[in-house]
Amino acid sequence: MSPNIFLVIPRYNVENNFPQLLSEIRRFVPDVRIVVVDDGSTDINPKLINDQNIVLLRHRINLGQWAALRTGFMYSLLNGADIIASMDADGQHHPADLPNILDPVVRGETDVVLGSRFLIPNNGYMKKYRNYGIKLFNFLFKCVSGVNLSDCTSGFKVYRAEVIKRILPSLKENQYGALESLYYITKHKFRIKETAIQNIHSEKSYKGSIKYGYNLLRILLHIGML
Amino acid sequence: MRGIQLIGAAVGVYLIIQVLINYRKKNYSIRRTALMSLIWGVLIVLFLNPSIMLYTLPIFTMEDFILTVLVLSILFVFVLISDIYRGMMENNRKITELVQKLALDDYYNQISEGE
Repeated sequence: MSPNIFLVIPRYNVENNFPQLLSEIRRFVPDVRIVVVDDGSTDINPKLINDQNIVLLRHRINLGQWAALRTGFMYSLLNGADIIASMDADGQHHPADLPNILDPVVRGETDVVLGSRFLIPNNGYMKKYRNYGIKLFNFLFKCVSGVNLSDCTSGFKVYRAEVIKRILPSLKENQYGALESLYYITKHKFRIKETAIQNIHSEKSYKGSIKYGYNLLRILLHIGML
Repeated sequence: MRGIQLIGAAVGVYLIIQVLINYRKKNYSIRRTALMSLIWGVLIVLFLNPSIMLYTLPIFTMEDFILTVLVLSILFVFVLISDIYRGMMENNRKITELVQKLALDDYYNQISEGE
């Protein structure tokens, strides 16, 4: 029997290419149940998501990417998900990578798959400061958790539902939860595997800003003290 | 005893009453009530008997009484800010949970209306 796979996509004011992204996902992984969590967008158009098979959950106010992800995770768990994936809505992640990133969890090789943009050399354009910033956070995360990852800030992930069930009550961060979630995954000793994904540069991404870096540092400090 | 001492103690008593009222209204947790009552209680004692501060001088090894008061004031402000911050985070958590619950409820209501 094939597992119930849910794909959670948090979105906030990313109108233009979103329907195209959804149809691309359908093309590469037709059996996946897509859960779009709109995080209080001001540009939401109900016709934007016209596929009846796509679940659209709407936050009445903007809470943050990880709050939206948690809502999607809750929905997925309540509806019998076996495997839960997450990806960004701003076009940073290519749906063509979905089959590869899902495969290790489907085959039971690992509990979590992290899509990494750094496993392929010369993998698309990335601003230098962002590149070095991610490497710095990989190093700091290793110091805190003891786990060596090549792309700890990646939002393209696949989890066994059990993993989400275990870590969900501990997650508190509404916007910058990437490191917090990875920390709890490593704390519970779940297996993590990294899979190469394409790097697509997005100008719309909030990641890479000074604020983002500051908040990741804050979270690292917090989890380092736990 | 000087008038300013009585006024200070009266303000302290008023603040403790406010804390207890907030506890009865379930605005404050037991932890917050205890902390705030302690702070205002210390304030009352200090106003009624300022010479008590002299006992703290050997502990802090400060020669200047004013400096001790300054340090205590900074600590007091720090405790107050951290208490407000904790309250804010708690409110933020409650709002998040509420919005998440509403998102799920709205979806299920929409589904049941469609059927």
